[in-house]
Amino acid sequence: MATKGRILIVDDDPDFVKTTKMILLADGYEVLVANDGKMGLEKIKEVKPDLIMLDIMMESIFEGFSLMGTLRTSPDYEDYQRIPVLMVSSVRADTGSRFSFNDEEDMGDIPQPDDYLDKPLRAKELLEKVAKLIERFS
Amino acid sequence: MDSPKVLVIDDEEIARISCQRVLKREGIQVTLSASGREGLETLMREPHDLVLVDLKMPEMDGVEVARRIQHFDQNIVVIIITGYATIESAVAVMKEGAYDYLPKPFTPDELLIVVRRGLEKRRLDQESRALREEKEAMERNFVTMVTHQLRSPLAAIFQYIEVLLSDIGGELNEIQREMLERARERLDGLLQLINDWLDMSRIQTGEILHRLQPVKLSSCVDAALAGLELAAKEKNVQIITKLSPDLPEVSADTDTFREVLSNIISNAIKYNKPNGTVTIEAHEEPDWVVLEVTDTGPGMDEKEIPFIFDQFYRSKSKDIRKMEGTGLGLAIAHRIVRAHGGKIEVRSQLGQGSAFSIFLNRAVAKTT
Repeated sequence: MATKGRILIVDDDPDFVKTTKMILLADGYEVLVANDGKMGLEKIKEVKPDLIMLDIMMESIFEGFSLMGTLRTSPDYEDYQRIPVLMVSSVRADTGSRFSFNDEEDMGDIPQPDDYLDKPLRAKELLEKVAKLIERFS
Repeated sequence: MDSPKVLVIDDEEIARISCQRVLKREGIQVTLSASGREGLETLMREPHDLVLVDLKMPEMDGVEVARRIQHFDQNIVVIIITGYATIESAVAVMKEGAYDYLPKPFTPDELLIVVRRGLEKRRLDQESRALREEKEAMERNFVTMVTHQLRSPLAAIFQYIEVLLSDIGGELNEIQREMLERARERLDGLLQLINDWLDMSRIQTGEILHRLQPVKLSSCVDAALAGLELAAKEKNVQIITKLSPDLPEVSADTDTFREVLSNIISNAIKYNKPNGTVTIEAHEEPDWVVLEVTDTGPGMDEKEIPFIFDQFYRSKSKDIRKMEGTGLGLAIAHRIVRAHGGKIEVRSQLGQGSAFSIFLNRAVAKTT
């Protein structure tokens, strides 16, 4: 059976991964998982997902952003840089809903994700966003 | 603390030397300068706690020196020595930021009293600055702790419930669904509270002022009560609302003000006796519209009242300690109401229950 799309979840919280995966699977997506940024970058090349769900706050706040940076700017990822990224975090208050940081100089020039969701994810909202992003970029 | 450093600026050598002799005996490090310019250069090179400067000097006088020191570092305590101890000259130097002045001639004791007092002020200033910085750092760390350590696990729990409610883990029966929905609601409330508090710790009074609009008290109360019915039922506490339809509208930001009401009323339910009552009334005063929430709970010791609006303060009473609480609810309420330009007051007596009064401004009719 053809799936509605291939989604890569990059997140280090196993409970979040498990539940998100279940919601996406039940809706007909194929789901792959990477537990950290490095593994995420490897998986992107390996499976070429239609969408990446990226946690901002893994080991450090930089891990998610550094993945974003590599994906969008590194020549190694030229074939992958168009893949949409849905950024996810439970630290909205730290990042601001418009990804603006209090200390912008500290954060440098970070490529912006294509969309953003707060943890916890609500099934309906997640599925809507995912469908929209995949459609927009396919 | 290291021994304090005092700089003496005086064009008369005898005056400089005698100051030095008196202060050194007290273990104070003394530097001497013969002119204002030389003194200022010394200050730039090495920090001093206090400067004694003569008013009448050729080239640059004491007032000018005081002014420049203030400009360079306001925390340096400046004391002016003056042979012309007139009210006018004293006022002039104090205006330039001098902390004190010392009329000539003075005895060693007089010099010491003034210098000691100046140094004490300097020490207190430094101490309070350090404390303030420490407190701010603690608050910032706490925010980070709450966001990450508390929200992440809650988000994980929430998502499990979300999955179950989507029937992904199998069909749920009616009772299971109801319980899970209830759990999700409560969790939602908790997440909301955390969000609010985080927002709160960032909220600038100006932002709330900006969102103030005319609001009916009764609709705010109704909105707050909607989330508290279950809690009241569980505790078998009766909520009596007596709000006259004639009450004028108040000036409030609906979101944050609902949080205030929700906090105060849920406290009144939580810290109540079984079968107790919570009464919500309102009246007008010349300057305010006052909403009063009265409970029939255990009340508070008078001694506790000044502290209950402090962050993380929790009652010393055993009965209250038994119950869950963050020690934040009233602090948040207080902060929000203050940002509204209002105030909260409490009347309470042990064994008699408590009454919280929220004072808000009447809404100003919109001029369009």
